[in-house]
Amino acid sequence: MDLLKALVVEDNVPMASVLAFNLHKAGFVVVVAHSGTGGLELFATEDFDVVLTDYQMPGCSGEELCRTIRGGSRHADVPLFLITAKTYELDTERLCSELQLSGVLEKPFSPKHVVTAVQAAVMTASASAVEPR
Amino acid sequence: MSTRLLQSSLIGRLVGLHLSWALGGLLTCVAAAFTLFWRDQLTDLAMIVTVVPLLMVLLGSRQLRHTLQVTANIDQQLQHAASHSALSHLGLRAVPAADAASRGWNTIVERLTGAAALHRIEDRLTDVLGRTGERQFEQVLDSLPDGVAVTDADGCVTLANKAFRSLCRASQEATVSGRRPADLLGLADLPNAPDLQRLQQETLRPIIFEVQYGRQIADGVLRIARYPLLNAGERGAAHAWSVRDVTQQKLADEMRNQFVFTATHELRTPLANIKAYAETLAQHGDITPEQQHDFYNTISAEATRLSRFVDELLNISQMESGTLSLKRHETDIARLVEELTEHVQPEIRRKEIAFQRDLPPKLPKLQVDKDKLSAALVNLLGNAVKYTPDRGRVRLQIEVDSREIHFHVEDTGYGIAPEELPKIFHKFFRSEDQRVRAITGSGLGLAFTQEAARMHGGRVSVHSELNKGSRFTLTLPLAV
Repeated sequence: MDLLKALVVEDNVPMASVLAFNLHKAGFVVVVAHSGTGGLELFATEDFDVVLTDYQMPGCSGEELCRTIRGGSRHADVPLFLITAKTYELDTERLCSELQLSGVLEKPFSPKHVVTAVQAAVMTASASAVEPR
Repeated sequence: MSTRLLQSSLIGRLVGLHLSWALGGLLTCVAAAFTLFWRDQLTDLAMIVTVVPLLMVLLGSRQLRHTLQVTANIDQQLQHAASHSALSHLGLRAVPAADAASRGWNTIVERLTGAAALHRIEDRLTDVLGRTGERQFEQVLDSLPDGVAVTDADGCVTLANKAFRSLCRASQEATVSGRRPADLLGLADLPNAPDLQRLQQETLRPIIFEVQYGRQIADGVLRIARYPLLNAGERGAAHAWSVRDVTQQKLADEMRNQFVFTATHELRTPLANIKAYAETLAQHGDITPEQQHDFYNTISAEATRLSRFVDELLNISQMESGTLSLKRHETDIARLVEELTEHVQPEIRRKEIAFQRDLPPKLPKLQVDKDKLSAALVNLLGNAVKYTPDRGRVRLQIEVDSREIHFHVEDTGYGIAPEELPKIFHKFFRSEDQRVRAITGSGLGLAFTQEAARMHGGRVSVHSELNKGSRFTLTLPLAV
């Protein structure tokens, strides 16, 4: 079985590293991008099983990145997680339903919880992919 | 009624007086006739009987005519007086003092005229004082910062102060009177204005509401209150209106809220890193010593970042409350420059920014508050790095002349729009530029920098061009 591949898009370098470390320990191959545009470039060329993106980033924001992925033709149904410290400002329910997010990870969070949520989302996505239509 | 009584008693007295005179004359005449008849002086008798009554009639009629003239005069005056209630408008005049009645009348007139003069003085004083009061009332109303107006039962303005006239958007000052406040304030076109029907129907209740002109708070916000006046007439209530421009207050509230969100974000980011790294260290037993060392270093760096942000918050809080004070110590500027360069180095490396330092061979030692000056310069240098795209250029240049030291921080960043330049040192101000908005910032860094410079007897100036870059200069005096 191929290893699962995760894309982490986060402009805060220490946060990106710790997420990558924990996902790697959980068996993911992790690719990190430090900007929204960088993330989109990687998504266009590689196949990912899950994408975790920060909300606030210079240039292309996490929300824009999710919209671009959902509106695109390539892996538009990939599980998406939005990471944010703006808990009070964001209408997370609206974002979840509009962008069909697998979850919103509110900072500060427990890496163990993130890994569990990511694994569950990937499992659900792969299960629905093999279900007969 | 009283005038008529007065008239009848006066005429009665006059007639009585003349009748008694006539009776006296007649008795004298009869007595003289009897005496002459007794003495048989018939010629004299005939003469007296003819001449004396004739003379009496002549004298009596003259006297009566004169008396009647006076009476008619008094009568005319009384009739005139009866038709005017005000004492000052009676128009009473003295009559020729022929008898007791006319003398009595003259006394009355004299007294009444004196009282009327007093009344006239009183009226004039009331009039003058009344006008002064009105002027004072107008002055008080015009000095109020809030718009104040009164509307009649038809809802039309009957009185408005200067502030109200200046708040009217749909009208020139002269045409406020007689128009409806809702029209004058342009409420009909606003999407968020209260139901105008409510203003028309709930006339006996106070109504308070806010209206925003345009999409942004800066377009203007008015707080409008309408209170019914107590003496409501049959046609409905008159109202007092109070209109306050709360735009600045709303902007300050918005900026304060924005700051709370930003501060929360600034606190959560290092906190999230500390938590994530600490839990990772605790969960995984197979982390190499090198990795462990890196993780501990990250936790320490994030804790420092958190602590610095708390210091900044404290500075800002002291700046807000006016209790920010300096602790001056001799400070080596060369060392301070080294420290603040170190502070921004990680971000410079990450964004691959070309950083250039242009310093004189020898830098002075100054009596300054090192922490505050350092924080002020870190703000300038940090902003330059933050708002310059990857692979841009940032330059720190220091010039020292005989009196001052100038710290120039120059970048090839986004720059500042000319209309925003005057506001950048305002507390909580954040640029509308989307490229700047995407980057976290408290909107307090430059306000603090300017305050720190000012407290050191210095200043901050800026030159900036949109999409080309900015040059900030912090100048301090060399001597305290």
